[in-house]
Amino acid sequence: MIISKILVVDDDRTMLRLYKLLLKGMGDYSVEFFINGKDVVENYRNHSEKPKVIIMDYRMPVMNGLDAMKEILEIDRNTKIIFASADTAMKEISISKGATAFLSKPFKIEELICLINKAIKE
Amino acid sequence: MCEILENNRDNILKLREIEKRYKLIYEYTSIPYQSLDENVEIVDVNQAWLDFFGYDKEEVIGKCFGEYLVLESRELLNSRFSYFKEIGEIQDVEYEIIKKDGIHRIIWLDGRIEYDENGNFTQAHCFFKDITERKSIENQLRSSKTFLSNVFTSIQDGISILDKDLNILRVNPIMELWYSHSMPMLGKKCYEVYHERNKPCEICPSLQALRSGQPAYEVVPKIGPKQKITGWLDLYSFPLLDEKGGQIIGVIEYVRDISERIKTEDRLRDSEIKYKYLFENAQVGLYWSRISDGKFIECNEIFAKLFGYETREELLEDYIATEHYVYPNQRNEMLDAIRKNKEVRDSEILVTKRDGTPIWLSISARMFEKENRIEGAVIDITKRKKAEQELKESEVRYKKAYDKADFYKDLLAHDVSNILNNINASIQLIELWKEGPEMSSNSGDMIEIIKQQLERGTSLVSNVRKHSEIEEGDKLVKSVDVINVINESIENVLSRFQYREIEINIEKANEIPNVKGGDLLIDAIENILINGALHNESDMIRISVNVSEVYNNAEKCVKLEFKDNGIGIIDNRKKAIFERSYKKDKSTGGMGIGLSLVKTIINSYDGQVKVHNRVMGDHTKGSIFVVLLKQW
Repeated sequence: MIISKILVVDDDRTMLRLYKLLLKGMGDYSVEFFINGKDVVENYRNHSEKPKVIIMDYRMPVMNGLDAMKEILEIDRNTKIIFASADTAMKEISISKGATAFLSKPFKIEELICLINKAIKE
Repeated sequence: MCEILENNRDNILKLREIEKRYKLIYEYTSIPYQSLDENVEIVDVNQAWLDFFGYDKEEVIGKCFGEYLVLESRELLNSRFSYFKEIGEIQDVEYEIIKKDGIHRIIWLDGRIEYDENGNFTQAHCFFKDITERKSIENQLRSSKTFLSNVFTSIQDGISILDKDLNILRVNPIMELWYSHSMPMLGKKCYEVYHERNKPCEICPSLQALRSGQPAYEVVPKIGPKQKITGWLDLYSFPLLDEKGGQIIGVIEYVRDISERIKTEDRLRDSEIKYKYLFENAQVGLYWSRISDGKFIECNEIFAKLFGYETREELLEDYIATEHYVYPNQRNEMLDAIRKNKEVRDSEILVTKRDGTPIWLSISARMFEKENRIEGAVIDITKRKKAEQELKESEVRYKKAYDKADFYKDLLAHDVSNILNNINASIQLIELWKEGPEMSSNSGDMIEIIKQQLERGTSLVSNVRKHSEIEEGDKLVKSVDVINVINESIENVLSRFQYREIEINIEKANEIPNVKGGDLLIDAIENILINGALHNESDMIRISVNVSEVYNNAEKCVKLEFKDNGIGIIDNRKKAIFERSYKKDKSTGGMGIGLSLVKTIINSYDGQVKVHNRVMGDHTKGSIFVVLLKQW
């Protein structure tokens, strides 16, 4: 069985906790969590096994989600990134910068699962 | 016989005596003398002759007198000598001679022929006088006369010579031209010709000159045909004296046509009147000032009133521009601009009035460097500047209000959405797991998350309200026991973070004085503690609070240091963490509005707050928040 690697980036630790509970029950996912953009970029750069999908928040300390996505796509422009933010204004911007999909907080769990599965299958 | 011989001998002696006397006379007279034979050759000359010509006697005896004449004179001599011999005498015949040294002179020659008893020519006796100087003077006089005549004729002003009875003796062509309608003029009375009157004018300067012997002057009308005034004349009358210079024999009138000058003066006067009217009635301030010291030389009444003076005279006496610039550099900057561009337009300066009231002026000016003068026009733009300032302030208020609305919108869109998202996700998971085994193991976590998020929301609402209260100035500054406030805050935070292991210690000197604070100080301290707990990944959250007395800028203060073992704050975010407000970059989230509220509250009590690394150079080891509060 192939285990898909998922990276989740959000500075809200409660949200990270919820992502963890949610994705734990969703199937064969290996999930890693980060609290800012800089850390996820470093992880992406330093590991040969690339994630199937990255769930990216926008507002974060040190490095925001948009800058982190830009650096990751510069390494591999085929990386699937689901942008998840309460800032609906970021939808258009993130898609234009290369995000696979935009998830507006608060979101439905089914919607998240659907976007993850779609991204992995592609 | 003896008697006859004796008589002859006496006669001969007398004759010899006479001859000797004559010889002496001609020999020693100062008048040059020469005797010529019938061939015009020199028989004898006296010493005066030799002195005059510069020769010795031996050099000239026997020479033809013509050799000492210029060619024309020689020809004249040759042609006239026969006539001279025939009639026996000549007078004042003019010859031009050449002296030994080559100098030419003019002489007048007088001569008488000596005949023998039979009437035959024996000698020509001639005297001459040097008339060179006289001829020169005559020539000069002739030239002067011609010159004066030419001047009289060619001068382009009128000249009229009158006798004592005001009869016209002579006029120059200009007078003939001006008064052609009254020709002929000579012999007529001047007042008849020039003024068509039958008696002298009351103001006649010529009569004055005749009476007083002194020059006189008047401006008189220029009368044309039918007594029509065609212009104006400057009339200068000079007494004309006789040759001896004693008696007044007439008057010289020197007449200058000043019609054009009078017209020009009239136009200039009209122009001056109009300019003065414009200057005095212009609706802008007009002025001249000196470049060197800014002293006003001239201005209109409007200008004086701009500066609070009743009259221009008061301003010109009292006001010196250089002393009234609010920004002294403005004058030099304006002078530089004028020098560079030859003028300035609508340059705005701030000066003070007589009483010190500031006034904004718009100046357009030009410089006349050689005359040390600036001339300019000014308009009072104080109202406009005030309106502009009010507009700017209004824009600032509007921007502030806009930013404030944007800030609260952002709070709703981000912070509140995140809280709702967390609650929403928790509920969805509960619903998802309600029939499964996950429910029993995770329900506690879910309920805890929901509670925590509700508390977070409550805290957010509370902070927003407090933000608003402070901005509206609705706060009371009073003496506060800061230790009590810290202890109360610690209790509240421990209560809120029951789900985490947390330890908060307080260290302090024995006696800590009260500080300048208020009811919101507890919120500021709570927010610092909450921040240290929220952004902390350690298993055991450790926060220590150190309280001490310090001096800050010679003022007694109480210093609060909050050290935590949290994730720390990178250097380039340290300045921004207190600034989550209306202008903050929204891309760097993570801190909520808590720290912004901290700064707002502490500053409202005249305190200060800052943050630095707990371990110098390594932000990952946690932060130290320092709060300085003034002692009460």
